[in-house]
Amino acid sequence: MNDIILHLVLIFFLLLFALLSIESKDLTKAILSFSIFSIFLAIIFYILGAPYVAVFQLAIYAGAVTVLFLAAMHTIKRRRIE
Amino acid sequence: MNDVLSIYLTTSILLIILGFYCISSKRNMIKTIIGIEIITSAVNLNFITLGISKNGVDYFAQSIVIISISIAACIAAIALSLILNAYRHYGSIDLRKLRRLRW
Repeated sequence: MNDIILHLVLIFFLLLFALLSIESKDLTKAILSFSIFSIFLAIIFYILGAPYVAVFQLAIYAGAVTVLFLAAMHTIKRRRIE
Repeated sequence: MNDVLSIYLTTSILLIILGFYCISSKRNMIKTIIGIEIITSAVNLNFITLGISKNGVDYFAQSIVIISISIAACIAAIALSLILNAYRHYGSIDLRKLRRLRW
């Protein structure tokens, strides 16, 4: 029972940061929310029993893809386009 | 274990719905790519959830998800390069301004 509460809390934060990364007006906040979303997804993968997938998720999604998004956003001048 | 499986399947369905909403309603191109990445993450979560057995996750499902994560990173890189190319050519990353090119 205690285990299910931990899963539900993790899923709540996962959906919350997914919604924040979609709905926030500022692009920097959206991209950082996407990074935190992938960190929570990596924690979920680790708890479910897949540690290698968690390591790849942290290294590629929370590291490389976030840096790619930030570099592309800084290349484009206008930050707030909605 | 059955409760955990149904909870995570519902979560992946919700994430796929969020991703489709993001793709279809946002006008910014970077938001569209964030939606694509969210859908890919939901599919990875679905794979891992269906691969749960008594002693850990099935190794075949883990290897397929690792390949899927790598391919998703390549998709993000190529799509961002296309966005930069479109921005240099048209001066905007609004999708509605590029939609006029059809006529």
